[in-house]
Amino acid sequence: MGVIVKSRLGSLHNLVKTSKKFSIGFTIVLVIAILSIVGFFNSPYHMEGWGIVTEEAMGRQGLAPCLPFYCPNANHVFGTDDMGRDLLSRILVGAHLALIQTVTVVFTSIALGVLMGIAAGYSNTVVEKLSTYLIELLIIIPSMVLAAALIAIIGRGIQSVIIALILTWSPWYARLTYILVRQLRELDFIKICEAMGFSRTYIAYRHIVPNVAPLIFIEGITDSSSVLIEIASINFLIGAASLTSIDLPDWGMIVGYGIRYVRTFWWISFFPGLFIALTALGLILLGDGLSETLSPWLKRRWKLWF
Amino acid sequence: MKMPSLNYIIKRIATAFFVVLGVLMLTYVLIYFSPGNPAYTWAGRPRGPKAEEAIKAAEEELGLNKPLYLQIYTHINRFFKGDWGLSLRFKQPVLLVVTRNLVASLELLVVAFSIAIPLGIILGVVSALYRGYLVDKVLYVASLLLISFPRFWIAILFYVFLQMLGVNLFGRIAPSYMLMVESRVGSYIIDSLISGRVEIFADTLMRALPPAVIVALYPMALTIRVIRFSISEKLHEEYVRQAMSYGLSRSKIVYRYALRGVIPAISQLHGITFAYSIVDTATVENIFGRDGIGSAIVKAIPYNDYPLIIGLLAVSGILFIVVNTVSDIIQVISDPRVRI
Amino acid sequence: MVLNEVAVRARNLWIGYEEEGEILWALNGIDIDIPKATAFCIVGESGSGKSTLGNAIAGLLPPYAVTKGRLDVYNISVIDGDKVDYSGVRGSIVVRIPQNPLSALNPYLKIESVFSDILKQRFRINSKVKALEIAQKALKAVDLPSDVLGRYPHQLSGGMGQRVAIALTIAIDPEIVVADEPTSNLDAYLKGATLNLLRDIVRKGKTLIVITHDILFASALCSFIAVMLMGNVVEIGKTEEVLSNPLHPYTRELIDAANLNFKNSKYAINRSKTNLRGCAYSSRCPKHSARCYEKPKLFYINESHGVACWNL
Ligand SMILES: Nc1ncnc2c1ncn2[C@@H]1O[C@H](COP(=O)(O)OP(=O)(O)O)[C@@H](O)[C@H]1O
Ligand SMILES: [Mg+2]
Repeated sequence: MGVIVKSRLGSLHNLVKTSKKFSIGFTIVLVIAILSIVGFFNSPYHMEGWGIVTEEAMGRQGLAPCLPFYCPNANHVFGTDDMGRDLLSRILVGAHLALIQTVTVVFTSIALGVLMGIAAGYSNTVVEKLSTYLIELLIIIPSMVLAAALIAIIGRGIQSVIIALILTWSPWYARLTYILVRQLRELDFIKICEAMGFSRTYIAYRHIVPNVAPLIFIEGITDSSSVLIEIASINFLIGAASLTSIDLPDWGMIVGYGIRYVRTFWWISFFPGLFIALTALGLILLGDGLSETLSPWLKRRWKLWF
Repeated sequence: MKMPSLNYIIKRIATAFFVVLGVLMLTYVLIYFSPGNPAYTWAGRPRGPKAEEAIKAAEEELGLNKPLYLQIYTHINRFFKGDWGLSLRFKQPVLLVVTRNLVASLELLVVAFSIAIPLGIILGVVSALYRGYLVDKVLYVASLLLISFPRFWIAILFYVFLQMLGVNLFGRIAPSYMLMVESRVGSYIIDSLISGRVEIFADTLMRALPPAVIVALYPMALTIRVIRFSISEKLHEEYVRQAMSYGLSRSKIVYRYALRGVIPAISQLHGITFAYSIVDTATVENIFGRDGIGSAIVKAIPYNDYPLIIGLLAVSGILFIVVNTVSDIIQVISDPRVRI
Repeated sequence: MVLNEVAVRARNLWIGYEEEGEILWALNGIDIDIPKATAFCIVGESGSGKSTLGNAIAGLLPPYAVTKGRLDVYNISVIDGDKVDYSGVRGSIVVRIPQNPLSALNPYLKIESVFSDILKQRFRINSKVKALEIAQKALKAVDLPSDVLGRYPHQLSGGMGQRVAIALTIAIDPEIVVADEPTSNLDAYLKGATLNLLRDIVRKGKTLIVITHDILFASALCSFIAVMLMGNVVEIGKTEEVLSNPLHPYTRELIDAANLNFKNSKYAINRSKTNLRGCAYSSRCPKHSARCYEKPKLFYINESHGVACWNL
């Protein structure tokens, strides 16, 4: 299975050439990634971007009807937030947070999930029973409430959100891996390896992981836009819950904090949300492009012929 | 259609029960292993002069001097007795706060899914039947955008738009009506209907519709995508081709052959999307000023209202189990090949 | 071939499949006439385009199939250039018997629903009872008990599935029956039973088109035979004539192989790509000559026996 995935996908260059969706998605994600690197080091009002209320920001007095904020204008294309900080700078600085959170969650969940799935599918029955129970258990835990619990325990901050998401996403990959492993372990080449006396750990490492990982990886890329949105949604709630202005330039938190002003000062929530939407769109196009390349009949000219 | 055997249902419910126990244990383990003093967490990280007292009370409540298994037992026992502790933020029993907000969220979710499923199926079929035509392309792009745009962002746009039109749909019920319905189920929509207050019913439904439509977007868009994909996949199946050879009409083939085979997938899908929809509900509730699980969380976070959060965790976990069990049973019923 | 009663007539028929922008031709300009009320077998190695021809006749080409030339079924033009229209033909004049009957039955429906859906529509009747009456008669004809109606496909054995498929075909009562590899999944005994059921269909005056790679089965069942190779018909004629006097070297190879006589030929496992211009067999033909770079046309040595070869 793994080999088929690799040979179908070919190189990145090929993918960009053959799949329009993939190339659009790839471009969007690439632009956001570049923005996040640039924004990490520099942005128009860099200190404000990082959440510091500079004297300049404090001194800003908006004009009616935006009082006491700055509407989007030539100096502040996206306007300013309630502390007078330049919103564009905050969005640019925050870009790396969005990507880092998503990437961390997706990759850690995949790694943990594959491990759990192989433990469930390719060891003894006791471990299998225990692991499948653990998977069932974690799958039904709602990430949002778990994040709230972790916040109450270890405090506010993106680490609570990241841990909550890893705990709730990895069982999905574990379940998928488990299903794949159960098919694999019945195949002859695995049986032959077992008969030849190779250890299960070796077979798992040498034959099972390489066959399962690419499929899970594709799944992970397809899911990454959902992960991004889920992270943003939970951060939205944290932002909405915050009693004081948010310093961390997380997109979701800025949107969530901004809803208390949304009736009049819509831009505080609008622009960071727009960036979340764009990034998620890029990621989903990436995933769609990949899966269409993997099942070519999806792309076939199609009309009903009966 | 076949009925699942009693054996299967009992087995499924037993599994669900053990998962519930697991969730409850997990909630306790979360408290127990939290850095620092568990009582400090349970008391909501109190500060100031009354802190000492609050921590003492929490220690007593949790029974921290007893062995761990006894503590877990007590915790679970109390849960089943309905004694879930006192919410720090609301100063009310957690069970009360949780039920109130759960009903409010369910109200939204039920309306949302009653929109999402039928509409998603119809549009998905249209999309599959006209694959490659303009309708399909429009639906494809629309569902792509609906999936990738955060629903809270769409909700904000929609809310601001309604504001500009001068429509105010903040909250679940007009404040003037609030005291006029007798609370039976806790859902204003149902309560007003029971007591025959049509104008209140209309008001509450009108307020529920815009947020429900937004919560419906994601499951609807996913349904469209899944149906479009699976119907095309099913239309490649040998049995569909053979049905064509027997001269079955197009509509028969699509509805009775292709769509029929998609039901298990749709059922499984909604078991899963439900989890996302809860997150969407939470954010949308906050934007439209409605009560619900999401609003409760937002109110609980600043107070470190741990008992309330644990209550919400347990209840939403149970809700997921129920939804997933139902979706599993539908999958099993709708596929004659699965033996049960 | 001079025949007044033709069930299927193909003239320079090309059918290809569009694969990522390229067209892969499975039939390369076929001329064929299939007489009415006979059993007509199409034999050839796998990949030679037999199923494609069968599907073209039965109206089951996938939507990405590309067509050229003409195909008439019962004097109704179904393929004319790139125009494809099977309305009034598929499911009433021609029905296909599937290769793998179990995967060709809707797994979600009981057999009775399959029958009643199809028969209600075929005979424009509304009552399920009447439809099931026809179904029961058809099941009797293939020796199946009528309690099969209450089962799901996964509760049938392979042989039963095959007979259900034939019963469905009998109930629909078409003029032409296309059977694509009807016996490839069956054991010798069931093969014999299927052979008898198919003979019954011909006896009723229907045209039976059987696709098979089994030349022995073909000789037992069919009165006409066509040999296909890489999208071309290389030999065609009455079964006795073709078998007793095979003219094309490929036909000889097939007959030798069926008799387990492997002395005279070198069996090529690696087949070269379809040669659109020249003779399809040229790369492994013992009598290969310079003319073979040009494609031979079917040449009739008598009124029914034709062969496409330059070196007779
Ligand atoms: N549905 C299809 N899509 C694409 N190519 C096909 C399809 N069906 C058949 N082909 C190709 O057409 C050629 C002829 O196949 P087929 O008609 O199935 O031959 P046969 O039945 O003699 O084995 C083969 O090269 C095959 O790969
Ligand atoms: Mg074939």
